Amino acid sequence: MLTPEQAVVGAIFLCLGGAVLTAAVASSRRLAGWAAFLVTALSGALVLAAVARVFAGGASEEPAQFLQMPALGFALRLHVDGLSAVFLVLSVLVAVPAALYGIRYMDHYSGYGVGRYYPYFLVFLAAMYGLLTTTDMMWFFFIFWQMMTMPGYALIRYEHRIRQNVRAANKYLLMMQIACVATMVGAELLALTGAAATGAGGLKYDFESVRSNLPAMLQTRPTASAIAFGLFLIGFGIKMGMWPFGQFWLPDAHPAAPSPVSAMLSGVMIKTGAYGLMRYFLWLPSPAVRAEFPMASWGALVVALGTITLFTGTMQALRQEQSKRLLAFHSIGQIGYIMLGAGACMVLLAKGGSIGATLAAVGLCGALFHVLNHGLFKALLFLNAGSLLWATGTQDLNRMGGLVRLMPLTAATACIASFSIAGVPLFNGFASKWHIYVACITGSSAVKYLAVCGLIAILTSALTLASFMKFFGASFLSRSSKLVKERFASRGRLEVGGLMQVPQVFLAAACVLLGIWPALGVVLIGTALRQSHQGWGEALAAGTTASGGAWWGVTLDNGAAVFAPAGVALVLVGGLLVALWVSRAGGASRRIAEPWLCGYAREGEHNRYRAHGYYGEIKRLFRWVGGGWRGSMVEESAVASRGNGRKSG
Amino acid sequence: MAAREKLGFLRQRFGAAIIRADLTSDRRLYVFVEPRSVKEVCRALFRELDARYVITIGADDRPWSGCFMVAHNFAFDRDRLLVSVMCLLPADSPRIESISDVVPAANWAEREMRDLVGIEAVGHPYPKRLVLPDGWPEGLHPLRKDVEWDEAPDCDESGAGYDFDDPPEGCTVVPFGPFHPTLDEPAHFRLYVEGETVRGCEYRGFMVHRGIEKLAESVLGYNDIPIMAERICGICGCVHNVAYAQSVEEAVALRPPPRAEYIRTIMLELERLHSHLLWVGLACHIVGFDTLFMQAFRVREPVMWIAEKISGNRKTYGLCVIGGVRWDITSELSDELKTVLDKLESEWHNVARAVKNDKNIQRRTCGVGVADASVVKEMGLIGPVARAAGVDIDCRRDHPYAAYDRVDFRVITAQSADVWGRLVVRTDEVFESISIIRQCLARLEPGPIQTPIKEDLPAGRFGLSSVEAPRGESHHFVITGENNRPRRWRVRAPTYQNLQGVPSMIRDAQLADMTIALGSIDPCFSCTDRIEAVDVRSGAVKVWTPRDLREMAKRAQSGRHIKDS
Amino acid sequence: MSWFWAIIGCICNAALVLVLAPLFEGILRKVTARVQSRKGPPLLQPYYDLFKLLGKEDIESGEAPWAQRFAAWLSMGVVLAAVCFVPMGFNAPLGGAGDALVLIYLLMLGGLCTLMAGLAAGSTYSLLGMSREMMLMITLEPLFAVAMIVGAVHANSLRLDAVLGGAVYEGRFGVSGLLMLVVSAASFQALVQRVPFDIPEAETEIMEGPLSEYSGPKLALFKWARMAKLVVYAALFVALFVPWGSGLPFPLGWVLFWCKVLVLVLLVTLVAATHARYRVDQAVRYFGGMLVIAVFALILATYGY
Repeated sequence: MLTPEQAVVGAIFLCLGGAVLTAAVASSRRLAGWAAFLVTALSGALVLAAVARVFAGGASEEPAQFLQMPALGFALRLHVDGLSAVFLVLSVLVAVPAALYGIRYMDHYSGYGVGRYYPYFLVFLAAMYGLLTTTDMMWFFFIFWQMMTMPGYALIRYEHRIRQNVRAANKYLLMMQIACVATMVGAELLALTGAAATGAGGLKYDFESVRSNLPAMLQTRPTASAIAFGLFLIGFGIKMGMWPFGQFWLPDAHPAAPSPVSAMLSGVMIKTGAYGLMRYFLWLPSPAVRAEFPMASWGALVVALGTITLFTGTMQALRQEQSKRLLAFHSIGQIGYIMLGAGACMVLLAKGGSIGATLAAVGLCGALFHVLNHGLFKALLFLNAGSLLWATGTQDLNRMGGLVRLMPLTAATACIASFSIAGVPLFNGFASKWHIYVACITGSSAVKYLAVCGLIAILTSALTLASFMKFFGASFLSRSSKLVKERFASRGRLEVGGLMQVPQVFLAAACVLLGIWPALGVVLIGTALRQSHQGWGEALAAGTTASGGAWWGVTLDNGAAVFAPAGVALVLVGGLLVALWVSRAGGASRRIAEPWLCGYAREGEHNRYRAHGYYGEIKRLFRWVGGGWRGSMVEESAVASRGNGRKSG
Repeated sequence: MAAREKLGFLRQRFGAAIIRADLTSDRRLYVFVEPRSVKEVCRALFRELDARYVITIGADDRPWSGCFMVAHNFAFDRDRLLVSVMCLLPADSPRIESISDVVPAANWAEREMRDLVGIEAVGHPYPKRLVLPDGWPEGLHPLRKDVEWDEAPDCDESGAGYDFDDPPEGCTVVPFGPFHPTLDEPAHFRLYVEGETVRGCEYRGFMVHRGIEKLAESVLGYNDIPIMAERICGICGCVHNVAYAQSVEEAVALRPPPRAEYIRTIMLELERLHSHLLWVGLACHIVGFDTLFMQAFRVREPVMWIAEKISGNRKTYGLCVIGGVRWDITSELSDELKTVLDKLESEWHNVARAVKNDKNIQRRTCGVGVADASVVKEMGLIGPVARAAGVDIDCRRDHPYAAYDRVDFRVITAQSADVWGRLVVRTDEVFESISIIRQCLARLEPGPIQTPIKEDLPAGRFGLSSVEAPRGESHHFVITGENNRPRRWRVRAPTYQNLQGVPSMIRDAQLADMTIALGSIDPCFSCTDRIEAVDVRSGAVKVWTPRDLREMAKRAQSGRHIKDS
Repeated sequence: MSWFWAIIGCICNAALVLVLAPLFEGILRKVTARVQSRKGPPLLQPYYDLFKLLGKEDIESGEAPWAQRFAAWLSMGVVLAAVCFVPMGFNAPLGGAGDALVLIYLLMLGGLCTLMAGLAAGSTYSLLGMSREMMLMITLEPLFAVAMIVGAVHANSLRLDAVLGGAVYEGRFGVSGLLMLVVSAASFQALVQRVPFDIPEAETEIMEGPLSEYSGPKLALFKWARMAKLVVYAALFVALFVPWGSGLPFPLGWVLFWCKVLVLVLLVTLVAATHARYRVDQAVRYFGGMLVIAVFALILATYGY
């Protein structure tokens, strides 16, 4: 029986081996694709096995060491605990569908070979596994970070003949290296102060040493450790797209990459930043350093940054008219929710008390749940955007329309994903946001400003809804555009093939499942927290929202908040049945007609109301938030009929 | 005096280019100009002497002079003077230099002249079809004398006959009309909308052009035309009725008796009353304030009743004949009218106060649909639109007719140049109209109401008449002719000019403001169309194609006795 | 047994709202007519209208008729689901399955149907109307949320029975509750989509906006849902802000509750009859201002005022 750590190392090497393999067979697109998928799936199985073992209570007490070279003080130290497990599950859940999706999707990049795709994809995945499990804050952090950054760079500039993509990739590379430097300097600083504070020789970069040195460090060198933690926040903030850093690279990088990679970038990669944030701020300190560690201040900072991030990201997304760029800005926005949840957890922990602990757990649970949910629906959305790109050849929402008739399955999954991210009840986005809201609102009795942050989050969810009504409406609903009609006429079929449908359906099903039975996710996270023996993890596990009950809903520990989506779904279905009966009761006949255009004008491309027109007033009112869509025009090989000379606003 | 001054100025500037000048009175000046100098003469009048552009008329004068004729009419409102710059064009090449780049307000009139008479305005900045329907064949100009009045060519009905402009980048075209809840009559606007902001528009109107002018020039007689003229507009019909009668009277130097002039004044003001009351109600309806809409209509109703008592109809009074009026106002009617006015005045005080003090109405109208004095000048805007921009023009005072030179009234102006200003102007004009009617009733002296016409009216004379309709100046131009009918009759309703100002009013405005900005000119598309509404019988399931309708019209007319043809 | 009573309560609430909503609409129309010096339609006219619409031809203009149908069913379904979370003289029947947050989002879902309807119909006007509706929702939804949250903060619980029972006025002076009462009253017309905030429909501008392509049974469902919304929001308003007397024994408290709802409907009518429609940018700014006040009230509430 493998230990979890062995399984993960196995998965990492499997992926690396797979990279070599796919590079070797890259001349056959289809073969390379299936090989990559099989490797991904196998590694995923290994990782899931590891996770299952952790959840079953089999987590190792100590990090496992591989590749030891005692002479150099070098060893690959991995540890799979509950926190890692949650993120690992997410990686697998996103990577496998993305790999499957890629097999057919990569066909439409006829001018580019897959030799520069699959190997990088697998290395990228391996790095993710590694980064989420390593306990080494310096060497292996660096190695995995670069293993993730470099293939990411290559994947973003996959279509390297488009200058814009190369620019985006360069920006990404630059920001990632800055983040790497910030995080490593922070680690070095901690190690130095740790050594100085305890008087022990040698620099220790692993979590255990730092954790044990932390109390002494905080007492003797509070400034140095504050700087170190500040650097961590910056480093991981850059990675996860926190305001103001995210806006520099994320909206350019995500649209540039091929869609399955965008799904990985947005669904998993930026989550490693969130992982880092939680790992360094909640798992390094522990209840033992409660008095010394300025948890309240860091928490307030994270809450503030999270609130700003969620609002600005979403507001800027509202102005976008390119499908994937819109989604990329929403990644920033949704990261804001995760930060808000984590930050609320931190400030409530600092406040202490029973209610503080309970709500802190709710906040963290919400953040982790949202990590999972966001990974699922955002990956799905990027796959949907990929299907749109595959079908219409454009990312420009202005030129799409009426695709629901031609791509019904993609439309249905996109609808589910849009409702999920917009926080519509009965979909998973609401379930996790509900936790964050509850933590903020009921937590305001302990920490006043949380209520206002919660309100901004609620406002932002309306903005998200607006944005996704535009995304979904402009592409799938409204009327067929000229482009869509032409593509349909020339290709005969626009809906993507089965191999691309399966991943979309899988992710959509996951969204619905977690939406109606959020207890699944809550139980998973609760178990995960119980299996985190260091830091605050275990202490928090006690307070997660109770689940179960008649509808497998979630209830706050003291019963101050309840949410049973299955019950809501039941009455909603009842209401729908009544509505259905009422609409049939009159026996009215049906007829199809053209939309009414006042009797003279004929329907045409000019009088389609396009994505550019939506929400003009709100966009104008919040112009100061920034995030112009200009410069976002995606260069296309097809004839671009739209110029750049438009006025914004 | 003023006429001689202007003529002197023109003679001095253009010398031999001025071929001939007729000064029928000191309030009318007809200058015949060499075609090549027309544009410069117009520029001098419009830019240097600051005349107001009124209208351009094209006429087929070939049966008499062998030429086509073009007249550009201008007004000097301070000098009580109307000037017509005329020129004759050879029959084989009816082309004249466009004046639209100098006088932007001439844009429509020159396009209409090209469409209907076939006189090409060379160098027109926007030479698209204006009046003729989409599929109408090129080269067939209905107002030419060699085209029969009931000519009905086969039109291309595929809709391919007219190309609309492309909207600016980033804009969606929002079709507005012809069937739209706020439009009582058909007209089509293509609004270029970016989000909620209107970036521009294209207008396609004249959808129900009936050709009343052609009918008058070929079928009707002098005294039939007033009845037809009245049907040009459903609201300000009496204005056209009076304006036509006055232009003919002026051409043949016939003066109606004083009592008739007072009665004309009373009826015109009654019409202004019900029109303004209607407008205020509609404006409130457009901005969603239905209570005031209903109240305005309630207050208006007695005006309609008294009009019916006087003329037999709530509308279409059938008032004028050449040389007088048909209905007298008896002393009983006069008393009743006075009571109606008293009640109206007190009720209108309430409504006006409610309208003017309502914050929401102010919010929806202030700064909306702005047409400032320069737009008024360039586009030739008139009536309450001009007065709301502080341009103090009113034909009742500036070009007095009927009994307006014998009554006292204020010309209401405002400075804000927006919809709010137009609202204030119209609301206050109601009180002035009440006062005018009262004065007329007080001065109404016994006497005849018609001047008898002893002999045939002389042919080839020109007549101009400007009447201040509720919406602005209605301008009629008549060339008298043979067979008891005019050779040419051109109607320029106020909406014709005011509509041309709409694009600049709604540019960069909110879409929601478009309807109220359009409403603020009190648009009367039928006025521009010179049409008759087609009565659609309810319950008929057959869909009438244009071809069916034409066939039906032909059948109907073949069975009818057409007088004097 | 509690489940049994919850189900009975849901059915009662839903039936009551469905049956009473057109009556309230009828009263509203009659009163409007009186204000406008008109006689007005018979009191039962809305019922006749609905029944007639149910039998009329259903013209579908969208490229995805099923999306149009679904939007129509959902609009009614959501309202019926929402009524299960609203106290109508008794406690909310399904208070055990959702809290204030769920209710806020359920009501938002009702707006979402209109958006879907507009998008699915696809005409220029319906999309314009949909865009307007969304802009209003963005600014309105937080306002309504704050009203609930203020209650939740005072009660330190999000449970419906805790929030909807006058909790907003708790605290030292109840200032935040009073502020929210003013804010909610000032934005109530928009919540129930009446003049002066019927901007998304704006018959004289964009011809009923999102609904311009709907006819027959679908239109009936949308109209019915809209009438029901008036009742639901009025009931919520009463429960949140006018809780006095709801503790009376059964027939009295219940009758008093519906009287309060009726008074609120009459107030809505009067406001609708005496105001001109706002422009969408004006409305957004207006609600923006309201939101500032609401946030202030929320801050007060967190400090216990």
